[in-house]
Amino acid sequence: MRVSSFMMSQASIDNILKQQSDLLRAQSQLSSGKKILSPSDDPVATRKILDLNDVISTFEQFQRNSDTAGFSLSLEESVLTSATDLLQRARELAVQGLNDPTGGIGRDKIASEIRQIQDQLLSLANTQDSDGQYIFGGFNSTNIPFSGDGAGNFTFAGDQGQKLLQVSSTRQIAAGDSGYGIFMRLPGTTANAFDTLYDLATSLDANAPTQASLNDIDAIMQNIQTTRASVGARQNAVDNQKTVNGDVIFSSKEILSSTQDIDISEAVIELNKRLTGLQAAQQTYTKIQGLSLFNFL
Amino acid sequence: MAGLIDIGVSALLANQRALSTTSQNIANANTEGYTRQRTELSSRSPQFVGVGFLGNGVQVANIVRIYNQFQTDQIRSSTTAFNQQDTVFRFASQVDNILADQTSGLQPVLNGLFSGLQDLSNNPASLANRDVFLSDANDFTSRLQMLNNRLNGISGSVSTEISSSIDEINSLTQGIAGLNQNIVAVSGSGGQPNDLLDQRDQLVTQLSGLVSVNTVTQTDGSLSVYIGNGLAIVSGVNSQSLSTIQDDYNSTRLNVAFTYGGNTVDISNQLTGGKLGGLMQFRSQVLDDGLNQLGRVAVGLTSMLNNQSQLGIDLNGNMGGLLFTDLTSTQSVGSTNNSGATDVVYNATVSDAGILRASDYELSFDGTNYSLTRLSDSTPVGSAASIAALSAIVTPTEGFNISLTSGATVNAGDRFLISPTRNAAGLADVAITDSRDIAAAAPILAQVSNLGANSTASIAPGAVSSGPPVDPNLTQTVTITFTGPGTFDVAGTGTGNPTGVSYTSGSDITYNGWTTQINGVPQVGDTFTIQLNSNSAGDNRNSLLMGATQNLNVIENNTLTIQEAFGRLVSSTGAQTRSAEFGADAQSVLLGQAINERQSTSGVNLDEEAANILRFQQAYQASAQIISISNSLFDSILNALR
Repeated sequence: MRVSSFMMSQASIDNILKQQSDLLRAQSQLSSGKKILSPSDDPVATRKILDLNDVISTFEQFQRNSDTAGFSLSLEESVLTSATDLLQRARELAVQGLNDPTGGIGRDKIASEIRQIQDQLLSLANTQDSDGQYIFGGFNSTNIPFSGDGAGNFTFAGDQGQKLLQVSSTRQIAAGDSGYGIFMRLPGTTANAFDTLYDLATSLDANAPTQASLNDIDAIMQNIQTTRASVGARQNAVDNQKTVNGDVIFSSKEILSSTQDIDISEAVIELNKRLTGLQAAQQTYTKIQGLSLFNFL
Repeated sequence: MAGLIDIGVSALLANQRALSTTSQNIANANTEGYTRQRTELSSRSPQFVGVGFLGNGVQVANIVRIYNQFQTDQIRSSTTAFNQQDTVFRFASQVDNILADQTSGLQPVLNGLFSGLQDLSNNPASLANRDVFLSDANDFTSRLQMLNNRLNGISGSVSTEISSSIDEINSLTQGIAGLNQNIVAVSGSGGQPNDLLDQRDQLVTQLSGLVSVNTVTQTDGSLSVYIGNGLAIVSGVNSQSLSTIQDDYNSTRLNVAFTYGGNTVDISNQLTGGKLGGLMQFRSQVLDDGLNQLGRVAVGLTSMLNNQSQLGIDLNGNMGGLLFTDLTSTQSVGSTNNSGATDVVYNATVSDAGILRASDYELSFDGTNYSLTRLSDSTPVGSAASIAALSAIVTPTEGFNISLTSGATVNAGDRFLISPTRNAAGLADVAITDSRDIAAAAPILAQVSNLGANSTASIAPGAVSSGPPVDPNLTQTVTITFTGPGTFDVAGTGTGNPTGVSYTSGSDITYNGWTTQINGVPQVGDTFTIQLNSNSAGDNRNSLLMGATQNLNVIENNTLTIQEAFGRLVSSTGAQTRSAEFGADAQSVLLGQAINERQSTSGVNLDEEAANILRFQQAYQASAQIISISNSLFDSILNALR
């Protein structure tokens, strides 16, 4: 084929330009650490990266939700443990009061300690979390839920709502319990926890304690125990969910990395290949341009 | 002897010409579009001298271009195709990068919005969490606006490039017409004006980079140039200018117009190939689709969250309002060519964002019937004698209804553009400013009011089951009282106070637009109350439902989530960009081959010219020797006679 002088120089220039463009790409990939520099490089992989980013973001949020649920549940658990300890002490005192043969002065002291316990239990039932929310108030978390009028009448101003948190795309876990079911509504009786303690103290003062009040304390403890078991089960569920979510995040990040990140050693080799290619193209150009018949005229 | 001098002189002149042509080739070795020339020599007519014919020297027969029309045509068609694809690629990759950017694209703010919503659910009473969600929502809408503005900015630069391309085309066609004039003028003299032909070829090749052209060479040597469906932009020594014209639906959008017979006509749809063809293709296929898909994401997300927001109750105890500005209602734009009253405006209201398509629609009236055409795939949607009847046809498949907003007089041939999604992203905004107005709680709460000592019954907190709009009696206090183990009475405004309703554990109990369930074994006298959820700062039921929309398939015939719909926009733009890039690469290779083919035939090789210089120089020197010898022969005769 006949070759024109333009073709000779243009071929070399085209070659240099192509090598430079490849070099720039290799250089950008190496410095950004990304295989895909623009979505059109690989639209399918780009879509996959977007999807994986969505999954990671969503599951990291589920982890945060799980953490929130975990904190709430462990606060509730520790409050209920304290309540159980208090009631255990109240029960011991009730047994003492029932068995006290001397009566009178001894029962007075027991009654005043029971009143203290009743106050402490009331204060536990009005526990606030770090944000100042009443944890046993139901949805009405900003108003104090439990109060007594000092004459043995206790009221619950909260509601029976129970806050659920999203810990996976299909699972919601209750992050707490309304105080209504724990302290106000006791199975088999119409009395509430505070009534029971108040009545016990009153009966001890009157020097006429009854076996029934002991049974009522047992009912309260039983009720709290049931709630604690439920809280523990939910804590386990949250922990299990966190493990599952963590696995999803980990594997998604792995796939994301293999989809979008370059293999450094491969990229370095690629860069060197391009550098060598560019040098060769430049040398070829100067060699070929130096050739001319006019040099010999 | 006289013959010897004549032969010598003719050879001297012929070789001088040949040297000139060679010099011209060397001088134009780097001139774009130059075709190498060759001096064709022939021997002069011989003279009969009795014994035979005696040669009379040499003459220049012609100076020709070494030229192949087919190769030039190849270059033109490849130039046209390459420029079209390259233009699409250049613009589409801008769109692609804007949309998919991992920090400035939509994805991070979309994820931020849903995360903010869940953080709000984690602690709905916290004003800090509420404020953060509100700012996430603002980030989301301002990002939508920014993306929309950037896409519109690209639309602006498309118009600018259309305008500058037309200027270029007009100057090229003037140049071609001017060369036609010169070529026609000198063609009569017999020879070919090689350099003028080269210049004209070069201008036509440049023109074919801007738009696809057809050419016809006339018998007088002039070249006629046609675009589109046979519109002559150069005819003999005359050129016809193209101009820009505003789109009849959108004054910021420029189209291409051609004027003949006093009529200016929009010829944008006829143009293919070259930069102009690429600009048109990009605008209708990539940009319009991108704006509509982005708008559809905006409409889908905001209408979904707005609906849920109106089913909730805010921190002040008021029913929830719109969280985002309503984007479901758009007004039609009448064509500037309409002959009817200009005050006619139709309204399109999205009725089902789940089946909404990313497309514009054209409403036209033929004097009897109104017809709607979907522009993304040029499909007729329906036709009817009234707008109401047309709307009834359109709503089930397109997800919006049409009504007349204002005006009455529509003439036959009037057309209107309806864009349910195109501008939505640009109008996206958050409708509330006080984070207390976020409706995170449910408006009703079902609770135990009184239970017998041994009752095991419980009631679910209840949920809103209809709306928006919600039932007017939604928050009326309703009491459910058990009159037997299997029956209950219901009392409250709106319920009709039914008695003896039979009870099944766990089955839905629905009144006044809410639903709840009672479980367990109730006792006679057990009562439950469903009432306004006042003091509900800690209730996240409605924000949980808003957050759940993240996983709902609500776009593209209810097959894609919001995030997937955006992902599809990015990948479809990426695929279009990639296809244009591949097309441009392929055409670039073909163009390179065509250029090489032409160069192989018509390009200057300096080594070849150097050899020719030597050849013609030697011949020139030899010719001079002939004259010198003839001179010395003449001298020797003179000397012999002296």
